[in-house]
Amino acid sequence: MDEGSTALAAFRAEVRDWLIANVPARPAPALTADGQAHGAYLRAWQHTLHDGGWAGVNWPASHGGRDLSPMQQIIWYEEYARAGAPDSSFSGLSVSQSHAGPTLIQAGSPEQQAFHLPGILNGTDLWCQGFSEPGAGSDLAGIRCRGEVVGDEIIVNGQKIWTSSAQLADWQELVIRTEAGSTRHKGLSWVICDMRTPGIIVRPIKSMDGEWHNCEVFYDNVRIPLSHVVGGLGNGWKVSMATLAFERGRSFIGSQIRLTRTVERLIAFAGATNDASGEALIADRSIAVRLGVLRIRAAALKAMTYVIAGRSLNDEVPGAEGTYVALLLAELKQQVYQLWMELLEARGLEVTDTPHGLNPVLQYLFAYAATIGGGTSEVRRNIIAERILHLPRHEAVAEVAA
Amino acid sequence: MSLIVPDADQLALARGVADFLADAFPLARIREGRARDTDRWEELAGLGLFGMALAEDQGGLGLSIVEEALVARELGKALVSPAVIGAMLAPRLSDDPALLNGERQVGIAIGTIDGEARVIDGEGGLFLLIEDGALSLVEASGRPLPCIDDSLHLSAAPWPGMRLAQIQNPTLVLAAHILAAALLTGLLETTRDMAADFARTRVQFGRPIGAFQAIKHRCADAALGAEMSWAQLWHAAKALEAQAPDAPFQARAAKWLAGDEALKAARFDIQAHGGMGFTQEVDAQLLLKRTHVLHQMFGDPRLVPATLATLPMEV
Repeated sequence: MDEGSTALAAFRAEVRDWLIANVPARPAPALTADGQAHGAYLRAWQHTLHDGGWAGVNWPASHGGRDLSPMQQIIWYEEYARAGAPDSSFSGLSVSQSHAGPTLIQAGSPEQQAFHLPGILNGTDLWCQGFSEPGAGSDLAGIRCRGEVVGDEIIVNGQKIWTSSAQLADWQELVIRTEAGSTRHKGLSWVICDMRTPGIIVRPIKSMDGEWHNCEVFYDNVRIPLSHVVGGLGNGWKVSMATLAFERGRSFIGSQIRLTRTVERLIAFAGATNDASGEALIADRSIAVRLGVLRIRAAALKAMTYVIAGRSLNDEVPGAEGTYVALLLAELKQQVYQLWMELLEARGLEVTDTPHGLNPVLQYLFAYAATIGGGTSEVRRNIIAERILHLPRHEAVAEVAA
Repeated sequence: MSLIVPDADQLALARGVADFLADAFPLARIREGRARDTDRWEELAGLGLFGMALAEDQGGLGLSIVEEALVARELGKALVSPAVIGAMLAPRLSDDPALLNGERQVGIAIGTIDGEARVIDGEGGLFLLIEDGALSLVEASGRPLPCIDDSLHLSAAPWPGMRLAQIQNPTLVLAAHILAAALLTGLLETTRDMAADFARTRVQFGRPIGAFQAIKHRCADAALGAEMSWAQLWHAAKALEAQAPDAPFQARAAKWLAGDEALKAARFDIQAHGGMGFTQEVDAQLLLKRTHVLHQMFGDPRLVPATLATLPMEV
């Protein structure tokens, strides 16, 4: 790290000291069907961050954020991950802090901002994301959930799915089709949905790791005030893209550090665990080679996150190259836990009560989501090929075939 | 870890070298069997590329491994002979001006095998050999061997041989790894572009084959590999420049990763070209063969990751 100044070194020390004193000793409770304990934990942690002056590190001060410089943000993400603070990619935190809040800052009205931003910052409100539908997964433009404008209300009918942490959320960023007969990216609107509104039914879905990460959400004549539309009727697609430039890929640094630490833990495990012949696993050269390959690829991931972070210091917005990091991060995470599962041998069949975040078997199962949620690896490869290498778009094939 | 991306001067240096190579060292020179690269070292020496890291009063440019890596990446894109590593580093071992001005050719040893040094482009009777922590400038004429990449001269010299100069310098050894990583990264970028260019233009079933995800996704993998290799190369060079404690890990990781990714991309490039990819009428086969040569340099790539599993690394 080119700290460049004693001020930054002092800032790092300040961050580290605060985190050591405040990071909760116990990990996040399991995400159950009712989600209440997990939600309470996230609210309490966000409240602690807020009290310490660390809420909204990348938010402008005019909206109550800490407004750290880009370099300070990078230091914050590094120290946050190193301190083992609650994973900021937990959906209850990440949707609120990294998506809903920034979207309202970019596209919300002064009234919407004044009403919602304080609750997001201090942890009172948790948000979920209502984008995907049964017929609109990777292809988000296929949204069908409809909203009919009647007077000063929108009447919403339809269904969302894969809504993470909907069971514990207070609010939802909901994208619906408000222009009847519109297709693809047109005619969509981004609205603020109060999850306590009559007509909303949340059905949690049990994931393969035993937790309840996602939900289906059903809307039966749900009445949402027209004043809850963000960025104007019919501008939903544009509004949902508004946050892409917000943190400029800097938060990848935290994910990368967590994964690098996982690789180091796996290497330590292979050094401390013997095979049937009494030899340490890492003494087996074929295992050592595979561990080394993971470590080399984790190093490259780290280098890539810092190239993007470095560009962000020049105020460059990461384009499709952020997709390189997202793709590698997801696939590497799977490969790490696949090898860990293999090295556990029959021990891996037993689900111990080690908390989820440190439990290699549960993390192995959870890692299957990494290459699906937030964009499948296949879609990410399409993005790289089409936007960076300028290969022909694959949609053209589907449209010709249809 | 450094956050600093290449600055304007560094980018201009790389651009200047790239422009020169595009004119003077086009890929067609290899396919058409024109003059060998090592016979044209004086042209590269004229740009100041040999001994770049020497001080200006010693005939160098006073630059660092970071600039050397940026230049070597461009040399790699143009498939300049791997012996250029010997040419770039030899002036650090000997003050013979003929090394600095490119009159005297220096080969590069891939490594030793069966009691012999395997040398690339060592017909001049001089080569650079990299061992654990040490570099040797060796005078020896080896026994020529037919090379898988017939644009290069491969030979086997008895080992240990006649050392003209030897220095213990772990930093310079890592610089050799970085230069090889840079040549591989550039080669990989050329391979990625060749595959993507072909996928954009070759039409089958009524559309460019790059519209099919079976081709498109492998192009994306080559692009990811190139991005990983470049980022790792850059950070390894910065780590070595800063004498970071994990520079040995970073440099060797850069070398291995670029070789592994370049090999995957080169194999795909042949497949993407179909029947023509199997011929010597397109360059896909040349990129593959050159990748094999570079991947074998400075340590058995089959075993390098095992070594790197336990080298110190900053987390």
